[in-house]
Amino acid sequence: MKRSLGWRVALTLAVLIGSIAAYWWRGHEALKRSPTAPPDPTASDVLKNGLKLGLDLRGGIHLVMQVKTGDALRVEAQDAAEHLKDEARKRGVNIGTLPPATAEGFSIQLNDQTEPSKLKDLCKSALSQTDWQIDERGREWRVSLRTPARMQIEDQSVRQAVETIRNRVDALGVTEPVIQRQSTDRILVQLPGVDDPSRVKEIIGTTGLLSLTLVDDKGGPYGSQEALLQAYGGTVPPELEVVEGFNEDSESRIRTPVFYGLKRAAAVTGRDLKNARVGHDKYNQAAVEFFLNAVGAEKFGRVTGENIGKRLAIVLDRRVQSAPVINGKIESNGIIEGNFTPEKAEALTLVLRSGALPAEMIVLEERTVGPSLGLDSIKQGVLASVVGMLLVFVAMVIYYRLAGVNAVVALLLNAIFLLGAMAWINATLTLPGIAGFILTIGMAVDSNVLIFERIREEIDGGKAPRNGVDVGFKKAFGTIIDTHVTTICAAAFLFQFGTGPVKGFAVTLVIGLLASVFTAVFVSHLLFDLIYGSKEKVEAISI
Amino acid sequence: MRIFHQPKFDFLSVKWYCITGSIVVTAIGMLSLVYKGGPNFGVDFTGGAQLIYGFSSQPDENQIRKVVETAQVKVDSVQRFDRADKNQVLLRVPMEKKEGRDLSKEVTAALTKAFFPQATAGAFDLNLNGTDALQAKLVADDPEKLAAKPNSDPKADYGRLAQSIIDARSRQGLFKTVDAAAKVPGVAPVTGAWLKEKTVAGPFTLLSAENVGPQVGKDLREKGAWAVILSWAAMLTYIGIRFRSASFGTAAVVALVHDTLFTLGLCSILNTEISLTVVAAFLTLIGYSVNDTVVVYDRIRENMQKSRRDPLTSVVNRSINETLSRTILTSGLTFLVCIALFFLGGEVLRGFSFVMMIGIIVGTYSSIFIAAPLVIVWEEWRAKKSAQNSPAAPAAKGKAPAKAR
Repeated sequence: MKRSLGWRVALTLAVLIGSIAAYWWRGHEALKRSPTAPPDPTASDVLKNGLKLGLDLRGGIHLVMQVKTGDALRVEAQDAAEHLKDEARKRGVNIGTLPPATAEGFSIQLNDQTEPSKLKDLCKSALSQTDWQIDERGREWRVSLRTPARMQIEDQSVRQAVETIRNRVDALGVTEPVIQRQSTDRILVQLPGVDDPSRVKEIIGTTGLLSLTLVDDKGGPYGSQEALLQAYGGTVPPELEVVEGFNEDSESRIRTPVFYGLKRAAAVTGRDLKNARVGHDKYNQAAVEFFLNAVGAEKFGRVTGENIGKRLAIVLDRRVQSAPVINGKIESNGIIEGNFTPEKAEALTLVLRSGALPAEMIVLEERTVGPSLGLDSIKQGVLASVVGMLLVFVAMVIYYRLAGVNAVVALLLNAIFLLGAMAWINATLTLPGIAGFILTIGMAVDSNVLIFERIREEIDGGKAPRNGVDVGFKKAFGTIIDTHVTTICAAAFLFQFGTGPVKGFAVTLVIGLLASVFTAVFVSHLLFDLIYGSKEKVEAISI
Repeated sequence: MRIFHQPKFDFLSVKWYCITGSIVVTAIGMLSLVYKGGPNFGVDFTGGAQLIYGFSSQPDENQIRKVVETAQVKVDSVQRFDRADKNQVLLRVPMEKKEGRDLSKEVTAALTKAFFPQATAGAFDLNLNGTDALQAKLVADDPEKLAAKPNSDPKADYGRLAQSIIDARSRQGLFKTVDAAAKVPGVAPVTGAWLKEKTVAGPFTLLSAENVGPQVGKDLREKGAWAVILSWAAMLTYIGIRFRSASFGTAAVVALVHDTLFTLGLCSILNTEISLTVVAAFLTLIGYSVNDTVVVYDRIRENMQKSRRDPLTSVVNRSINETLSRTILTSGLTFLVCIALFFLGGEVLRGFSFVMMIGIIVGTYSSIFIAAPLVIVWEEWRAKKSAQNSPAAPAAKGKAPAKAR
């Protein structure tokens, strides 16, 4: 039997060189992209950067946010209700009263003068029949969104939220952020290297919904909600809403809450915003200046021109920031005061520039790992891996002597292939991934043990040593495939289940096991052939 | 060197003792689980918050608890984390009914007020702020007057500087004084002076913060349970197909379920916390413990083909003996690796390596004493049943099943 060693050696070397090259190349790439990399990286810098580290090792923030799509639906319903009212006014149709809209839709309360047939015609022409469904129940009609339209709006708002968050994160200058839609209404945000959760959450989570709204003539401000209600005789009219703000003492700068009665329809919203920048208020405190686009300026100019002497509320995220008296026609710019620190003002301009989120968001899950804990984990993980590997190596050499050395070489190659493959596919190394790495070594050795035990049995059974090796490899192969399939199968479920760090573990395990089929079966067999040459007659095998 | 030289143990003679013993121990574990109202789930699954702080000197757990509770934050437990000389404290906060409360901010503020009273409100604490916040402050104040210099990029330069300062902090644990930060290589004297004037170094740092809402916790619990159950089913299917025998597949999965429940029960008795990584260990364990079983089964199949006339009992017994060295050696080596991980891998991986260690022992035991004997029990039962149904047929008791190749 002729043994073709040439191509087998070539293939092994090619994979080895490929792995090292892939790792080296990835290290260089990572250094090139890193803004904090030293100007002339040394070899050890490159080695340290070959693997992308997970948030748990390098530090960073992991957030899962939920978009409250109900907000977007409510806005949509409110817009439709306003539109219907406008149309009714134009055509002189009496439609009764419209209470504030909810996420489910809005209702129309017919009064005595309302003619149902006219109202029906109006609804048909003013509202899209594909989007809205009208349910006539006597004197109260329910207008609600149809399911496809509702789903489209929900989908739209989550997509818009992803886009907005991306803009804001980009403005923060985070390298390699992950911003992903996770399910219908969840968004995953991962920011490696950022370790300031409060600041990040403030920037990402602020809705940034700016509106400039007229304060009603009797709209206050009042010191309490009761006082405001009293001024209106118990209930505020439907076209008004109560919004909280604050009053600031110019001397002591102590804030007290106040309440405004604001017109429900905003004069101008953040959609008409062109730019925002940090400016100063009259106390020389940091404030945010904003500039409107042409459409916004036209609207704003009209409203301010018609309402000189009245108050205009600047509302941010449903809170009145200030409500100055309109002294004259203003067109394109304004200022938001609010006793900001320079950092807060800077953050707010960033939020306003990136556009408002379509809906409020809540944080469902937050994980922050500081850089020092990650550093500690790496040290401990590497130590455990090295010690674990050495223990396995020593045990193998003691137990199998020369064949044990063969296994050690195969395991070392396995480790190199694993690192190279992970660098090549740019997989993320996590702390459980380090555990996966060292477990892989423990499991990969199983293939070697299976083969070696088989060889011993064959030789014990009377086979010639050289033949025993070949038969041992051949017979153990089926079992090796079986054991690998089961473990990889479990790892696949693990991948499906896990969040970031656990996914990293699954990936490391699978790659390591695949590499071990190659090293234990192919490389190890080759090593036997290399050691004992191509002679068929070998006296004894050290195993 | 050899552990066993052609061993001839009669494993099957003790099968009923082992099966009974396993049932009893697993039942005790399950009772403990029921008694304690389910597994001791960590914050990943229950929801709630877990904060780890590093202090510059010996922290006082009781005082920390009092301080945090005064700040209207409920506290489940305050305990030392990792080695005692690291001065780290793990704080657990039960789940909030409403999602979205910024607990780490509130707790940090409370701790600052109590342990660092000399800090003025709004002072920039080098131990509590990260790279990006420090960079933003440097850019805003511009102590090196980079903005005025031509060809300079203040944002990038200050970014590198902030990074090296925070890296130094990571290596030192935390800055004991601002001087330590000013002495970091690369910090210019002007910047050092700026640090001393504009920043402070508090007595603690937030190492990690996890805050999991009730929804995510529930999702993860369900996903974890499904992953375990589905991987059981996958193993059943694979072994069933590979060995073309319901008895092999079922026996392997019974052994597998036994391993999982046994380990889970033991975790419950020992109060091991079930975190995400521990569930990862369970799933790995499922793959691993089937390994041993498959190796034994492979050998049984091979020996059945070789010696068709031998009774099944002796074939199984011989197969276990032939693979015994391999089973002990592999499990021993993997166990060794897990020991290294347990003692050296750090606090986060301790639960993981503990479950792996238990799992390896149980998995090895079950593939020898449960999975293989169960095949015999099944086949004997089937033979008895078919003998009852058709008394004319020759007793197939103990014979290798014809279905398995």
